[in-house]
Amino acid sequence: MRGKKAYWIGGTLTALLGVGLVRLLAPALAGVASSLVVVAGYLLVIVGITIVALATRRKDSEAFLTIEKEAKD
Amino acid sequence: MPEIDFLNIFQGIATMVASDPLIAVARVVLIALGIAFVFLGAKGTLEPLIMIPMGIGMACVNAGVLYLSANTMGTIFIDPTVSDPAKLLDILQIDFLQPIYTFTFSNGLIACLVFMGIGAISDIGYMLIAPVRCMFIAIMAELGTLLTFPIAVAMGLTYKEAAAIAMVGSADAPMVLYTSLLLARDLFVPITIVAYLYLSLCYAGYPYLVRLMIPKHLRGIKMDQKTVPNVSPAEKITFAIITATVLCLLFPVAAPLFMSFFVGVIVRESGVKQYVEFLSGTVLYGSTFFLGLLLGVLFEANTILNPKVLLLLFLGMTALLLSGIGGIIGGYIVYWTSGRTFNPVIGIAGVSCVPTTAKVAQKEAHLANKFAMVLPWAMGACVSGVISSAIIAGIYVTVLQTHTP
Repeated sequence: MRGKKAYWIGGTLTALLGVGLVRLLAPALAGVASSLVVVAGYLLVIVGITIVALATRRKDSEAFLTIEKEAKD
Repeated sequence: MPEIDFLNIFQGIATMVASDPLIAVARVVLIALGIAFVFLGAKGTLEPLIMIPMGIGMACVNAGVLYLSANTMGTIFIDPTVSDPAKLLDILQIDFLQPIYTFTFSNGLIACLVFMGIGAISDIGYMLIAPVRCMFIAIMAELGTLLTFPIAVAMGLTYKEAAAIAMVGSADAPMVLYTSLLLARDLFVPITIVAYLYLSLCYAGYPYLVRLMIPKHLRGIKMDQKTVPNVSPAEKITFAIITATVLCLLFPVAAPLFMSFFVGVIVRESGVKQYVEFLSGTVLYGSTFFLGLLLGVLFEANTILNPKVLLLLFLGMTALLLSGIGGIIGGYIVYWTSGRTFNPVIGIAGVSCVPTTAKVAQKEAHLANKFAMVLPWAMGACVSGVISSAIIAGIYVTVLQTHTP
């Protein structure tokens, strides 16, 4: 978990930035600009959560399951 | 010998004879339907956990109509129409299921309790195997949730009603209940019953859709088990708390659902055995039981005579079918983009309905190739489906509660 700090912090900040766009900035705008900011905000939230999820990736050698040998058909 | 008034002895029959013929016929049909649900639930054709209590509730509430006063007919099960505080206080002491309805249904508590249980049985570690692919499939599997909305509006439903029935495509019945309680209170009983009815048929119906859309040689693709990571509980808890907080910030109106799901997830990962057993056992099954029983009891003849019910039946089926198709298309896209190593059957699991669709995916893959193991990825797509459903519910409720009368 320690080696992935950038993912954890970067993902969280990206998602929070998305929330800020949707909840704070978009209401202050009008028309197309507001819609664009909302869409951008939602996308940033999804990207942020995905970055956080990517923090849990491991190398193949650290895999939880090992390759199962195939039985011959 | 004095004349015996049989209608007075069997008041349920007397009220049936005295009521409008259409209502009488509807009551008989619903009693038969309730008995059929119990039979099919006990047999395993329909989901027994929900269909048995729902069926017995439907049969008994439609049989147990009596004269409450000289001119008023009703039951002593529940009165969902009462809102006046003084009358509500009276009814709470008369109708035996009224306390559960008033204190758990009206505020969405029961949906949240079910969600806590679902969270406690969901391992988000599976989702973290391939988060981008899982979320992509889950979003594709919301096709029905998104497309049914304009279809329902075109067929004459209001925006709020259309959103509530479109949520059937999310295949998460507590989510449907929560959304319909907030957006279409008058229709929440038929919408939730339609949702549970169809969701209990998923296990029987989706395999045919999978076989229709995916050829056998693709259904049997073996997944690379090497890519399954060992995610620690600390990482799962961190992911869960960050995601829950961000989603609550984004959709405060759906925050109770997000909190309920992720508290279940975190309790599971925290390893507090007593809480895990409590949420995944007592809370999940207790609330599912009362949810089924109350839905059955709420399904009176007057409800089914609402002309919108037939429309809801059609739209519910459309939503689930489109979501299934969307999920499989998502599975195909990931199959092509992954260099043809990803089993497209996993797409059906993106529909959610934990864990039914994941079991369908594994079963179909196993039938095509007995060495094909797709369950971890399917569970990942399934859990992602819960999160994407909650996001869609949050968007519908936030937008429609704010911008429509």
